Amino acid sequence: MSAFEELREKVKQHGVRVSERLELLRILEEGDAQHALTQRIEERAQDMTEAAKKVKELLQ
Amino acid sequence: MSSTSSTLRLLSLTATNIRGFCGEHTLELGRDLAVIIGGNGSGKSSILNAIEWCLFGESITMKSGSGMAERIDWILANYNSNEDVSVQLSLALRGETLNITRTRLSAAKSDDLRIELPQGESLVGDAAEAWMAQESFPDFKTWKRSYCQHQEQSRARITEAKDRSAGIAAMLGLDGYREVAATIKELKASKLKAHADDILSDISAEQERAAGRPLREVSDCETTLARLGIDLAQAGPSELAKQQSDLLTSARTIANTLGVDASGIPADDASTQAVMDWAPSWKALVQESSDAARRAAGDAEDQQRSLKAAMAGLSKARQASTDANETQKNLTTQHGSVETLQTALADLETKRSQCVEAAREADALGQLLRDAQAVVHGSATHGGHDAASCPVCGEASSDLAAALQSRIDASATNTHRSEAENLVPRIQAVRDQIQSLTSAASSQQGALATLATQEDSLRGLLPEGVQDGASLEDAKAALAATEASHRKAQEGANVHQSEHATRIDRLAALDGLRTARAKVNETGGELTEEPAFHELQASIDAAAGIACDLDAIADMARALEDEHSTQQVDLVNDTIDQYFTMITGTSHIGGVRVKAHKTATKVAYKILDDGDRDITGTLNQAAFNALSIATLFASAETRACQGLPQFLLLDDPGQSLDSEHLTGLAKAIRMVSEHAQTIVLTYPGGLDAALTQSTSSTSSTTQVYNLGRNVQQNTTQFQEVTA
Repeated sequence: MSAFEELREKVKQHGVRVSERLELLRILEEGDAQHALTQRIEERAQDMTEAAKKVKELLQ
Repeated sequence: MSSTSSTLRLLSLTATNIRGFCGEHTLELGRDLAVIIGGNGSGKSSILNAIEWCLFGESITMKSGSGMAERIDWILANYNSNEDVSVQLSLALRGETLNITRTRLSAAKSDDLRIELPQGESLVGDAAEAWMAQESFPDFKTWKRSYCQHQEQSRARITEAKDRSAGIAAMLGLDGYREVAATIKELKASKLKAHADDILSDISAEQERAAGRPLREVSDCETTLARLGIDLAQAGPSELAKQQSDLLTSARTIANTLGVDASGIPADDASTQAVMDWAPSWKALVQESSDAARRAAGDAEDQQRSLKAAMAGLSKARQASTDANETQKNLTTQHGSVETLQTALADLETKRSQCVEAAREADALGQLLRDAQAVVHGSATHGGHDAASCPVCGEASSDLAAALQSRIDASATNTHRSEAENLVPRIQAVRDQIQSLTSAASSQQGALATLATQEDSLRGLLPEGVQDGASLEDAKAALAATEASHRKAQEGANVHQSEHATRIDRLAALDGLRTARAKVNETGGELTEEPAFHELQASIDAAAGIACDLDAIADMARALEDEHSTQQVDLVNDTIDQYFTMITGTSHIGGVRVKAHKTATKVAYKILDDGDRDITGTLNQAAFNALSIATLFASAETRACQGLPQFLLLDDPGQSLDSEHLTGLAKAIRMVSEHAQTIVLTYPGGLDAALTQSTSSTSSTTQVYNLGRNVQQNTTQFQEVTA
């Protein structure tokens, strides 16, 4: 059993956020995972920044 | 023939113009063990460099990429050749032959990688690199750790925790988990959590500021109202309505006064906001009216100034005319009219002409008398006739001479001449009088013309409605009244502007107070009920989710690595210990074993002796080399058993080892070559002899080359001397 197969099993056994973690494992298994995940993290950060901006505008 | 079951085998190396090789040279390999023997400078390292460059390209020469200080400023091409550089490795992979060729054209700066696959397909560049990664060919880091005994890297395999742990993990077949954990660690997803914390902290601070802001606004409005003279006790809605009504009434009044368009003034029941919105345009309108009044007053003032100047001019012209009349009158009284004077002048000139004529006639008579006297006198002196009487008239000559003298004397006292001379000044005086009268008449005409011009000019300056017949003083008064009216309008506009601004300030302060008080009453509303806050929470949850997921996956990878390392470490321990003991003989440190240790961020491996002590603290140089080689061999054997492509390239592995250790090393090399093809680069008179002696104890096949320099061709060359 390869490392990724075993990790997928482990994720399923853990039972928490299974689909999200399997998706991340899929990206990690594919080529250029570093770039793809970095992009995803930057998108999340940008989402937070934009949402925070709207809340601040509400508080002004 | 090969006896090992390795999936990968090096069949030949063809090196062209690289490092010590000048021209093309092919080294046939393919057996389990190749021993290449050469002295210093014979080209052993060139073979190592050629294989590495073919497999890894520029990464072995890049200053920050090779990880070897010795490789800095490394020159690839042979010193004596300007030709293209190339290396071809012919390989057998799972029984099929393929060629990997890397070329650097002399004119090009980058390398060209080409792989010719068994089916005839060729891959180049990135496709070739991708194929090698897919087939589990090692990267340069793995190569240094598990394929090659670099002299430069030998100690690092044991002493550097990162290299040691990575090597052992690979040996255990756990590098997949390790790679996952390492990739996730480099992502630094925890920065998302820090970013979320910063955002929530910012929002919390902003929320606190927002909660305090209405109270500060109420306080600011109250201060403003006090400054504007409004009793705070009265500063409620009724005062706001009153101020608004006053403001609008005032606007309508000034609109009537100034004639400003009042259609834009809001109705009494308009909202305060509507009034506030209207106020700036009204201010501009009133300002425009004030400016117009100021300009009109200025015009009236200018007209008055011009009128005054024109009146002064007229007065002066009138005086000049009067003076000219008076002069004319006085001259006429004194000298008579010009016509009279001209008559008198004519008489005088006639008289003077007569006197001149009379004087001329008198002069002629005198001359005649003097001539006669001469005649008379001549006769009396020379005789010829009766000297006692005049020969012409016969009168007695003595009487005649006397009579002539008397007449000559009488003509000499001619009064006509003096009379004519006396008339000259009189004539000149009359002429001067005529000139004075003429000049006075001319001045009088000029004064009258100037007066007419001034009157015309004044008539043009008269304000509208002032008839020619009206007095200038009335006109002047009318202009002054106009100016005063405009000045008053301007002043009224200015006063209104000022009052309007004050009223607006009051209205704004009252409205601001109302709004601020409303905000104070509203404070306490739940921000968390706002959709924007829900959106923020969702984005934070999503960010935290991905960060937690990545952390969890990395943790799982570490846990699996730790779990497997515990299960498999005995096998690896046996293998390392077996090779180590083989090289060193009966180990003075008893035995060696690997111990895994999982932390929050990694799984680290240590190598301990039989007393549970970290082995790096107890070994001498020879033992270090032996342990490094034992670990490398154990790694190669394990990887080969896992079916991974594996071969070993050993660059002078016998360093620091005595003859007893070299014998052990030769045995170990023989043993590992049964699992993974092994190429040994060594100097003569050391390991080569031990390797030759140990051939009978194993099943691996061997080939031996002697390496040397061809001085004439200035190149490395080799000769197979396999027994």
